[in-house]
Formats: sequence, C-alpha cells, structure tokens
Amino acid sequence: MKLNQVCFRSLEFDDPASLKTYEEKVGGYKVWRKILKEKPSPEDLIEELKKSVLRGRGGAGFPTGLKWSFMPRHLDGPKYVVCNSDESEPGTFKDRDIMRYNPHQMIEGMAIASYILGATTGYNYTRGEYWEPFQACEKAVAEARAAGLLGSNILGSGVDFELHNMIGAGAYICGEETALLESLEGKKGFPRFKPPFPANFGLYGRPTIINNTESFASVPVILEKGADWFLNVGTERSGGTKIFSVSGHVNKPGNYEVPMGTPFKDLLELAGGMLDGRKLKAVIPGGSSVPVVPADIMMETNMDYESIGKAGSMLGAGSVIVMDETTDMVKILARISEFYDEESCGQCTPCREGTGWLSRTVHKVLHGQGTPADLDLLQDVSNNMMGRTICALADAAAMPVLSFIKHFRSEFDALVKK
Amino acid sequence: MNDTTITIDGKEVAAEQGEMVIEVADRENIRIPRFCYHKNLSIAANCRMCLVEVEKAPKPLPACATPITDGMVVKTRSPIALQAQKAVMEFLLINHPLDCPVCDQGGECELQDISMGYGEDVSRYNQGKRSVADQDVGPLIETFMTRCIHCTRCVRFGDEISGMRELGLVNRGEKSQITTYVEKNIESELSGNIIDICPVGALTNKPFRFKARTWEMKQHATIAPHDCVGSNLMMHERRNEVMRVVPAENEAINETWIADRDRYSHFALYTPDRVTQPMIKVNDTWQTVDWATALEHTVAGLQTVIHKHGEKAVGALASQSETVENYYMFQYFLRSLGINNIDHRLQQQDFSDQSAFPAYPHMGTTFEKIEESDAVVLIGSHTRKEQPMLWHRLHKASQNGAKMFAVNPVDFNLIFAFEKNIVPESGDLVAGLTQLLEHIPEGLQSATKPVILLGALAMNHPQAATLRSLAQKLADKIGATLGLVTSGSNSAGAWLTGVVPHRLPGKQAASNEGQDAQAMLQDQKQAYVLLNVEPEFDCANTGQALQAMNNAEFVLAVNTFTTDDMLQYANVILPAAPFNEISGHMINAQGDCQQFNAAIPPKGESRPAWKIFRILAQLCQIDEIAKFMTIADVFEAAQQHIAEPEAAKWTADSKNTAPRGTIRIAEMPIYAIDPIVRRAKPLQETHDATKVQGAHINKATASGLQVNTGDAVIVSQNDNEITLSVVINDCLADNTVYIAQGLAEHKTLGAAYAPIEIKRA
Amino acid sequence: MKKLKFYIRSFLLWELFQGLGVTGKYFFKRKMTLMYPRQKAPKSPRFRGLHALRRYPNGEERCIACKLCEAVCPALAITIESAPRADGTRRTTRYDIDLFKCIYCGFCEESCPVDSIVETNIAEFHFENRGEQIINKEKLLEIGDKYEKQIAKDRAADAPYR
Repeated sequence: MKLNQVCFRSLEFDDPASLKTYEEKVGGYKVWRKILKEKPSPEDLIEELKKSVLRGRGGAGFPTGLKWSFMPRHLDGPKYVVCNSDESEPGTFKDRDIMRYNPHQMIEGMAIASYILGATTGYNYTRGEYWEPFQACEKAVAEARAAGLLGSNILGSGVDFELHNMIGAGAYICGEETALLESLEGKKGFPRFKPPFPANFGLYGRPTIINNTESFASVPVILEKGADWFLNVGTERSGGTKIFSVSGHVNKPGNYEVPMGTPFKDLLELAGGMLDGRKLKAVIPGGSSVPVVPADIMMETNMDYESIGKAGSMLGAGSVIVMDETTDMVKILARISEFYDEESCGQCTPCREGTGWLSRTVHKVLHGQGTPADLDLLQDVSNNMMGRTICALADAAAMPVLSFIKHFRSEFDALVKK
Repeated sequence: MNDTTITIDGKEVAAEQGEMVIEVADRENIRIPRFCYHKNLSIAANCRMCLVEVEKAPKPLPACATPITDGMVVKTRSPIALQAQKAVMEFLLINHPLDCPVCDQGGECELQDISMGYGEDVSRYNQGKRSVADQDVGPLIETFMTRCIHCTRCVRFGDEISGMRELGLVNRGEKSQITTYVEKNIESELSGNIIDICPVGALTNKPFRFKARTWEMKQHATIAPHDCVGSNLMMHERRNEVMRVVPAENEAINETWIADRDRYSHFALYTPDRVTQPMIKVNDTWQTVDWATALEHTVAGLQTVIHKHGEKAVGALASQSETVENYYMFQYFLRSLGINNIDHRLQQQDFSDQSAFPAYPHMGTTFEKIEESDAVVLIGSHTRKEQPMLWHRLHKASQNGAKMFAVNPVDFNLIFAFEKNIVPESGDLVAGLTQLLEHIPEGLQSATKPVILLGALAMNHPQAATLRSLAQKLADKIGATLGLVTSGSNSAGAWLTGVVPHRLPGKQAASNEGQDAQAMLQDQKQAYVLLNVEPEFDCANTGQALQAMNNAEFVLAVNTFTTDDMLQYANVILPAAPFNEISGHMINAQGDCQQFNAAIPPKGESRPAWKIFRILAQLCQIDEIAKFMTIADVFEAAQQHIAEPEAAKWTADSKNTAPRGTIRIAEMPIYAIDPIVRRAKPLQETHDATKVQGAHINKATASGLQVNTGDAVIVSQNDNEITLSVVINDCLADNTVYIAQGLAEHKTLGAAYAPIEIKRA
Repeated sequence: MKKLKFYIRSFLLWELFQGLGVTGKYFFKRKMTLMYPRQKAPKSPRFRGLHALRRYPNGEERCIACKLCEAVCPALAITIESAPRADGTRRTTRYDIDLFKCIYCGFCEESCPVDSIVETNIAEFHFENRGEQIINKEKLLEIGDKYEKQIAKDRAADAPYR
C-alpha cells in the first residue's frame, strides 16, 4: 500500500512546507501555472473533479465537483473561496499537518477553486488553537505572493486572487460552515439556517465556496494526474486517498494518508498495532460525533464512506479513535457529552437545553447515581434532539449517546442502581 | 399574485411564492406554536417550536423558515409534528422556573399558553435549573433573565426596529444569556416594545410591576395623544383605573409597536395635581365648588371682562392634542361670544403665510409610503424624539437603502447615517436650507421617490414661512412630496375646526380675523381662556406667556392638571377629562380621522371639555347650542368640515429676520411635550428626560466662556436670568445654546431661536 | 285471608307495640343530643369555615399575590391589590374577603399555589356592625396566626387523600 500520495506528498522531502520544495521537488503550482496560461473552461475542470469522485473531506462527504457546479459562477459582484481549517472535532488533526507540512498545496487548490468560480478573494479560517499551523500558512501565503502566484494579475494572466489567513477564537461550532462564515464576518459564530446555502448566500451574502483543507489540497493532484488516476487509487464511490488521524490505544498514533477502502486491519497495523498488545474494544471511526463501532464489526470494515456507513457509523473527518479493552465506555461518553455541552452555541432550543441535560445525566450514571430510567431518558432525549436544529451539532451530541448505549448497554446497566 | 397552492392540514390554500409556511398558516387561522417568530422581525428559526411535518422532507421543518413550494403538503398536527413540538416544549421547560404565580407575564405568557397544549404534567428533568443574574436596565423595563428562553426577539428588535443594539446574546450553550453586557439603561424611545414581544416574563413592564393580572383588566381601544402619528393603543383598566397601555395592531399606522411615551404616559393620570373638582378663586383663596357655582363664576368673570374691555381683550389658547369635538365646541363657544383671538399653534413664531395654508397641514404622504421612498430630507425635525413611530418608518426606509439628508439646528442622533447633514450656525435654518438648495446632492437629485418633511423645529422657527417656501422650491426641483409634521396629536383637527384666528371651521376665512397665539400673549389680554394649556410650559415664549397670565384680570383654565403658577394666575379651573376618559376623534399626520371611546368614566367631577363649553354656551344664552345634545351632534357639525388632504403651495417669505448672534435652540423634549407626559413619573426617570436639562453648548463655545461640563452659567432672555449647569455637547453648532423648553426651571426664559446671553456664573 | 290477618293484628295492637319497640330501642340507646354551644360535634379536617392567611414557620407571609383565588372565586368575594414590597417581592397591599358574598366553596384554598389562603374549621363567627363582614389582610393573618396549629393539623390529616 502506497502512503502519502496526495496531500502529504511533500513529506518525503526536507523542509516540506517551503515553496522551493513544493515547486521544485513535488512539482507544485504546475497546474496553477497551466491554468493561468491556458485558461481552460471552468466547466471542464468541474467535470474532471466530478469524475474523480472527490468527496468533501470535512465530514459530510458531499461530492466536491457537484458542490462547485451549484455555485452561480456567472453572477456579477464579489464571490469568495473559503477554506475551512477549523478542525475542532476531538480526534481530528489532519488539517493541522497539511497546513504545517504542505500549505502550498492547499493554497494552490484554493487558487484553482477561485479560478473555477470566478472569485478573487479567499480566506483560510484556522482553528483558534492552531497558532503554529496558522503561522506556517502565513509564511506560505507570503512566499506565494512574493513569487507572484497570488495577488492581482497573476503572472500577467489577468487573473486576480488574494488569499488571507484568519485565526478563530476557539469555538468548535465555527467549524460548521455557516457559523464559520458568520465568524469570518466578525459576528458571533451562530450557524445560519439553510437554505439558502453558502453557494448562493455565503460570506457577506455573496456566493461562496467553502471546503475543507484536505479537499482543497487534493484538487491540484487530481488535475495534475487526472481524475481516473485519483478514482483508481480509492474505491468506486469514494475516490482518492484519505488522511486518517489515528489516536487512542495504538503504538504509533498519527496521520496516515492511505487509499480509500484500505481495510481497518491494515490501518491499525500501520499505526503500530494495539498499545501493549491489548485487545481492541471499539473504534470511533470519524471523530467524536459519529457512532461508535464495536471491535468485531470494525475489524471486518474497510475505510471508505460506504463500508463504514454499512457498519453503522460515518467516516466523518477520518478521525479514528481506537479504544482497547480497558476503556470505560461510560467515562468516554461522559467526556464526549461534556464536550458538546460546552460547545453548543445556544441558538436552538433542543441543542442548548439538550446537550446539558445529556451531559449531566451521563455524569450521573457514571457516578453511580443513575437509574434504569435514566438510560431510557438519555435515548429519548437524544432522539428528540436529532434533526431538530439548524446545524448538526445536536446530532453530533446525540449520536454517540445512542450508539454507546446501543453497543455497550451492559456497562451502563452495571452502573445504574437497581 | 396568489399563484401557488399548498395544503396545510388537508386544507388547500392559495399562497404567494416566497412566503413562509407560518405566514400562510397564520392567514388561514391554522395555529402553529412559535416563540422566536414575529411577523415584524427577521426570521431566526432558533426556537424550533414551529416544527411541522412536510411531506417528502426527511425531518420536521421549522414553519417560520420554510418557504412554500407549489404542491407542498404540510401537516401541523401529525404525529411527527406533534412529537417534535412536544420535544421542543420539554427542552424549553427544563430550565424555565416554575414561578408563574409571581410572574407578571402569567396569564398572557406564550410559554404558559403553549405548554398547556404541548407540555407534560410532570417533568422528567430532575436536576438543578439554570439561574441568571438580573440586570437593572432602567426605569421602564424589569428583567428576570432566569425566565428567558433565548428566542432573541428582543435582540432582533434592537437591531432592526429601534436601531440600537442594546441587548445581545452572550456566552454559549446553556450559559447563553440575554444581557446589555455592561449593565446599563436601555435608552431607545421604543424600548417598551420588547416587553410585548418577550414571549415569557423575562422582560416586563417595571412601573406596572405586580400591580394587576391580565385577567382582571378590561381592554379598551384608544389613540395615543402625544404625537401626530396617532398610534393605536389598548388601554387596560381595572375598576376604573388605568393600569397599563399596550399597542393595538394597525399596520398602516404603528404596525405592532408604540413609543414608550404612549406606553407610560398614563402614569400621569393619577398624580396629585390632577383636577377632579371645579375650583374658583375667591379673595385669593381657592375653593372647591360644585359645577353650578363654578360655571356661574366663569360666565360672570368672562362677561365682566367683555363688558369692560370688549371681546378683543380675551385670548383663547387650546393645546395641540385635543379631540375634534373639544376643538369644535371650544371655538363655537368663543366665537358665539364674539371672541376671535383663538389659536392652538402655541409654539409657532411665524404666522406670515397662515392664509396660504391648506385646509390643514399634513405629511403629504403616508407612513407606509415613507418606507418605500428612496431619499428623505428632514428639515428641522428631531423625528426620533418628536414622533418615534414616524422615525421608525424613516429608519426602515434608510435600511431599505434610502438616502437621508437633514437640515437641523442640532446634529441630532437619528441613528441612520446621513448623506448630508447641515447644522447651520446660529440656528439659521434658512441659510442651511438655501445651501442644500443651491448644491443639491447627487443622491437627492437622482431620487425617484423623495420625501421632504418639515418638523417641529422648522415649524416653530421665526422664519418658518421662508423655510416652507424654500422647501417647496426644493420639492419642485427634485419632484418630492413635501409634508409638514406637526406637534401635538391633532393639529389637523384644530385647523379643520377653526381653532386658528383667521379661519372658521372648514377653511372659511374669518370675517373678523383674531390675533395669533404670539400676538395675544404679547399684547397682554385682560382675560384668557385655556384648554389644557400650561402657558409657562407650552408656549413659544414661556416667560412672556407667564407674564401675560399673571397680568390678566381673569384666566379660565379648562385643564386636566394644575401647576403652581396656574394656581397663582387662574381665577377658575374647570376639570377637563383627559384623553382616556373621553370619546372623540383625532386626525393624524397622514389624514386618518380616528375615532376612539372613553376607556373609563371621568374621574371625580371632571367632564369632557366639549361638554364644559356646551354648558358655558348655554349659560351665556346662546340659543343654537341646544342642537348639540350628544357627542354625535358635535361630531356631525365638525365632520362636514373634515376635508381630504390637499396639496399646499408655499411661496410666501417670512417677515422675520434671520437669527443672529448667540441663539437659543429649544425644542419640546420627548418627555416634556405635553402636560400628561410631563407628569408621568416613569418617563421622567429616564435618561431622555434628564439629559435635556442644563445649558448645552459645544466645545468651542465652552472654551470661549472658559467653562467645563458641570460648571454653572447664567443665561438670560426676556430680562430674566437663570443659572444652569453646562453640558458640553458637540452636536451643537457654533453660537448656539440648547436649552430645552417645557421644563419648570426654564420657564422664565424666552423663545427658541431668539438671542440669549450666556456668561460664567 | 288478608282481611282476616289484618283483623287479628288490629286486635292484638301489633303495630302499637311495633312503634313502642322503636321508642324503647332509642330510650336505651346512647343519647345524640349535643348541648350546643357547650358541646360540639366533631368536624372533618376538610371542614370549610372562616378564612385565614397562613405564614411560613419563619414568620413570612405565604401569600404572593398571584390572585388565583380572586380569579377562581365564584362569588367574587375576594378583592386583592398588589405591589412590590420594599425587598422586591410580590405581596398584597390589600386582601379583602366579603364573608356575606362567600359561599364557602373552598375553591380559593384549592387554587392557592402556596397554601396561604385556607378555610379553617371555625364555624362560629358573627358581626356586630355593617361592614365588619369584609375581613381584611390583617384580620386574616391574625386568624391564621391564632389557629395555625389546628390549620396545620387539618392539612396534615387530609394530606394522604389529596
């Protein structure tokens, strides 16, 4: 299995984040220069992306090509390209390394996006805690600008694109695209009601394309090597490679960029196997907001959107949290619920009131003060929260509760008073 | 229009593209529970109470934010919708305190009402409830933030309606709270509306706190008597005592809002200086007497003066906020006695073009049309404080992209941004307007629906006629509608019923033209008849008015309230019932003649003023008075003179010269505008009421005088000196001193736009 | 046959003895006559007599001026006025019950969220002057203070059935 084919392709060289390495060794900005010179039709580029089956890497997995084709490209006035680098999901740290070690590929991807969509301004919204990656991006943007790859009338082509980095203030909710746009506008990070979607009513009410860092970073490779190559790396319905942030009870936690459809077994092996040779108990395959999958199912599953969907969970942002047999599942759930209680923006009633209720009830169970009725209550409250809010945070808070109780009911039962 | 058909609860209804499901449902009287949705505010879709089932949608959708599509099938009470609504109700209730018995909202609480339908009897929540510290946000609004359900209506109201973002939602998740952040007063003059829109008891009416329950009060429709908008009110009364006022919905006039002035003014009605018994002065002592004695005394007093000095020695002043009926009987009685010195234009100083006035001064457009205009020129108008509901329309126009221009004696904070705001030196509005006329800004030149409004500060200017003719020139050049925004609530009615010296009812020129308000005070008449006027507060030149009253032989006051000075100069005080105790009609700035009925019977022995003048006429042996048996008879007589608004053509120039030197700028401040408002305690406690006190000067003037904020200065007008403390206010132009009218401390001073001397104390 | 039976019975004064039997039975039974007012019949804890306003054990009046009793009163016998007290709490400034209007239905007690207004088991009270039938807040509190023990006992006795 070949590692690091797309987003991390600069990693094999020294000083991977520099423009020099990216241009000379990796062969970057080739596509951007070609586009500037040849001015291909944006429709063709979108077609190519559609063919590659690049699915949004931020969590929802919506096909990027399709998303870009919805954008009203011919509308007059400003349009924006926004990169969502606000990865705050517990267990996710892939964008951090893209920004640290290969920021130019993300910049190139955004520049290509701006060409396709006719935007002239781009923003890269970084998570508040990512000071170092933010600095790396700042450096890369400065380098690219100095090299004439950004700015106005780039390389004499008449194409303008200016990119700005922006650092958040540490709110999980700002990873939700509309909340991110609000935050970017200087307002409180409250998700907006959709529709209208950002493609039509985005930043400052203008058409906006907002994608994940990894999605943008994949674009130059697709256009360079071709959609077919990209599709063939992955599976039929999930093209390309995916960075999995493996954390938890493994010997070598870290980011692994592997082709889509890699069996979980192989990924676990790549990560050095289970810590201290203990037995796998469960895996959260896509970040804390997705349902947990017990070991026996997970070991049979391949890492792609469809297979994980069949296993009863979601690929999400590819944040694989591995838990061994010593893990107290109730404690994990309490930690996750507390996180969502803390991070709910407080806009919609079910989420504002529900996350706190869930968190306190799980804690009650954890401390041995729960009753069997509390477990039913947890499930009922979770069901009442699901799909009742503006954004998906309520679902994110509810899904772990439901799946933990579903798969590990016995651990909960042991704690509740009889 | 109604081009789309959707099905709600099995009922096929026509709807318009772009409408939200909840709007269609409301129109069809299909009740969908909601908290955050308010038809006059933007859509937040955050309470999630209005979730309904839409066929083909995977999950329930909020009715308030779901645009209709053709053939949509909506179920508001299907099991899925009900389950969603009940779930949201449970979430709302877990942290809501169970203090309905002590909550002022109890009985009219949306949460209480909806929880009756969607809540469970017993809560499944057995953990601690959230509590939030309260804030003191001023004398009008009481907060109890633990009850808040975070619908953000009040926040959106501040953003969109009052134009001042005074409340916000801070913190996240369960810790969210609505707050002013730094504890401070809510200053907006429309702030009281957040009490109405708050679906729970988090924001309640402070002066009304704990006074009455909703179910014990009776509701009566009436009209606000403080400005020419004529906002529709609902007056809530218990055992013949007014308890509170809330807005009545009228999209054409006040939408669903009212100004704080209309909401809290009723607290004046039960102040100790309210007259409820006829009073006569015998040998310099006041006696409370019965009506017969008082009336006899009145007639004798008036007739003595007429005998001795003739009819010309009597001056009659009426307030600007009486009903049509009161005005009609007022002038009928006086004219029957041969008295022609009748006027209601108490604050005006320039009457040179009075015969060129149309049947009555009006706005030239409607409130709804103002919203659609693309350019507005305000001349001498502090609209935000003079007519808050009119300002709201202008604010909406500005939000819709209208360009705003102003020529004002003070750079008033009207919240919306002005393209051009001329603040001329020495309050010389004529120079300011000429400047605008000579260099018409591009934004005004290119406007397609411009509106020019002349406010009270222009109407009361000594060169008002010139201002009108200049405004006319501007209007002709840019094709604008020109309108006058009058003070008081029924100046239109006064003009139409002949409460002006030069006209009989219905625009007929008077054969015997009387003197205007200024002239009759300047000439010092032997007798005055006052109808709800307090000359030392309400007249243009209060010092002069007070002197005229003191020197008069006989003063008859038909008033709701007395003042200390009135007890000195008046000879008879007859108790007139205030607006909420009488029936009648008032005509607003856009020409709506609105009828209203008494909410409660007159207090004590007070009577509607028209009845008082009727009986006086009867006692003066005016035979024809017999035809006015009922209020309907009076209105019938007046009604034939009520005309449609007619276009005016202003050409005359004023005979007065432009003010020069150091000039006093004066306005009737928002909470000193009429006798009722001046006595409303909650309003007097607001910052709006206190901040107009003192002598306001700009930095340049202050450094010229070598004074600082808080220092005492001596100002003099009319040879009267008073000491005031300095307020440095850079909204003022050079050579102007802002000293408000209508305040007791300033009553000995003279007129607005008149020279004033100011020196260090 | 029937006639014959009747004839014989009338001779034997059967019905007379039957009647005297009842008399005799009650002649020896325990006497039911109460020497009112010295003797009184026992009263149910649910007895609805004179009204009282209760206090909490710390001396704070219970009534919070919610006016539910005023609203529920079918005879419109209750008149309440309220205002914030100096400490900001909601209190009555006037609490009048017109005992002539009152029909002693007990709805006021049922509706009270804080068990403040109660109907005591006092059945005997009188007025000497016109106007005295309207008892005000002071009087009601006084009654409450005086009979608190009995009131609390009655509520406790009835509590299991509520």
